[in-house]
Amino acid sequence: MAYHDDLRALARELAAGTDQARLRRAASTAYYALFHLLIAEAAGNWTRSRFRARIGRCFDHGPMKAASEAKMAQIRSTFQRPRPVGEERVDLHLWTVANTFVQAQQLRNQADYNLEADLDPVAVNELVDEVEQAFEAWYEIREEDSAQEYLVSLFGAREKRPNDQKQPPGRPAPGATQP
Amino acid sequence: MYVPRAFVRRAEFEAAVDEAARKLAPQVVSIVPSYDYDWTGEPSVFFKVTLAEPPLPGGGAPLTTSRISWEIVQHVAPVEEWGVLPYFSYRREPARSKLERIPA
Repeated sequence: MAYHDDLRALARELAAGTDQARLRRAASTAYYALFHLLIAEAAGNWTRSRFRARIGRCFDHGPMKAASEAKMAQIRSTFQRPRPVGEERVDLHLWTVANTFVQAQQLRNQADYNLEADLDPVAVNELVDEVEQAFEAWYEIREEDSAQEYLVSLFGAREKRPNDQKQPPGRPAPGATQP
Repeated sequence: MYVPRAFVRRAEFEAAVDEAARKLAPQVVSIVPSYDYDWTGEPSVFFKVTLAEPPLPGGGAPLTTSRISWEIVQHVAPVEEWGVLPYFSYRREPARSKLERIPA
């Protein structure tokens, strides 16, 4: 069984526990299951298998979060216009994967670093369920161009364009308002 | 310093959230938002979503939590309209009829 599948199964076992140690490990393990699935899928495109582990080391949590958020925003924008049902199905699955990654990462950080509040067992089990759903969604769409494009975006490297201009300082984020 | 719209116009934001909860009833019982920054420092809204346990009043297959998250995001547009990243946690309570949930 692949490492990410082992992690998925382990997360499920740990989530059955009632103590904070098991619940926190469950949340963290569920996140890493999805993290390693996506990395394995990306690196798996490299033909020379002996280099795949090294390619996997190029991924980082922050850029993967940013790429997932960008993909979700892109998918949402395409739902503003009518589209074929097949396309919508692919994008909904991809949104599920990207969203679950972001959700799981946030809970993982709470689980591993924030001991101020206990983790809720229901929330942890729901997360494990959502990671399962994300795995299933991914396997349905992994061969689609949009899914492969998402994998490439997870590298986080910004493409260089000749006419790029730096953003002026203090530019507000979307939806921001001045105090 | 820029503050997200959701942080300063909470009443309007929460009205939009309540509207989303009504549209997703009876499976979604309530959605309670709280406001903070996520682990990367981005302004965020943390939705506590209470779901009714199946079987749902009126029948029908329950939506997955992933699908519920999508529907909430579609209705509320937290990033585009309100400048906050959405996070969801789910809990369940025994199913009640819609009539029981409406306060007197």
